[in-house]
Amino acid sequence: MLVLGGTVLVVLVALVVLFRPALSSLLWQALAPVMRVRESLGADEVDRLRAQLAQAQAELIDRDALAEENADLRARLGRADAAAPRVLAGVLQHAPWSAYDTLVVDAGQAQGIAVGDLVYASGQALVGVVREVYASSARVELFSTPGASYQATLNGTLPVAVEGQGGGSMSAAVPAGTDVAVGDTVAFPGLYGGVVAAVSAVDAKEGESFIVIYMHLPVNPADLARVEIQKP
Amino acid sequence: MTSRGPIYALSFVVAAVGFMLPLWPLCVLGIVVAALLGRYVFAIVLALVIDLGFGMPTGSLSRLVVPFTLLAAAAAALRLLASSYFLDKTPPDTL
Repeated sequence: MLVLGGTVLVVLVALVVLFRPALSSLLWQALAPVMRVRESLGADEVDRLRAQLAQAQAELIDRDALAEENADLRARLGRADAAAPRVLAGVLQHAPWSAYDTLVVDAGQAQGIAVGDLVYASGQALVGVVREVYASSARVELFSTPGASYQATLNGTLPVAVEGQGGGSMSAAVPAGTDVAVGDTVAFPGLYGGVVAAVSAVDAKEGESFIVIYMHLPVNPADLARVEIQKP
Repeated sequence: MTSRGPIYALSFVVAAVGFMLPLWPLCVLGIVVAALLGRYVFAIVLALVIDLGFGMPTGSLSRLVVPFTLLAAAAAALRLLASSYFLDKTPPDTL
């Protein structure tokens, strides 16, 4: 009896070793619903945020790789010279402590900053333009400054006039029937343009010939600690 | 004569919880409990299922191929060996 049982077990183990991938697949097919239930039971807010952070970090790595590839392609196509170096600047004052949705940064004439230079946050997020330059500081007007108006492109093709509303928000009017949705990007045209904003709401009224789209800067201006300044 | 039900249930639940958490020492505990309490076949089958679930071991353990099953077999062998010395011995009431 013991010998028979032992033989059966040895055969069983041998079968499992030989057909391991197929058997594992079957087992995980059966366990998948149970595991999904377990994941949903154990997932709290912290876990969800951790997962989001991990995803954001992975996307950041992807973004860096794409930026490197982009620079490489520009260099191969003879446009590398157009990429002006960037100056890193610390934000001395930002909204709501600075007036009119502006930033004061710790780089100025001494660092080669000039009026009209573009200001980026976190790489490719274009947030504003240098409006005033002092000896060692400068004032940056955010694109969301109330009353400011800029030409940009919606989804890379449709030209739109973006108007600042303050607090990192902007709006623009596009013809009715335009294919626009929440999450679409608004960017500056040109090789060195960056993402200016993401569409956060679309206001389409019945019978009106224009749709008003609302956007916000890709970063919260109140959270900015450093920016990069580049010649246009 | 002890009931076998609780032993099967206990070792299965411990091993299953260890697999679901996942916390492999609980799986080891479930398998070892089943094997040491004489449920050899059950312990080995349970270990095989856990081996399938956890997949092929990596690193230096990859040589073991089915580490949980080998552990169950070792625990069963230990139980058999020990039983010949210590277990199931009924001391005589009188000399």
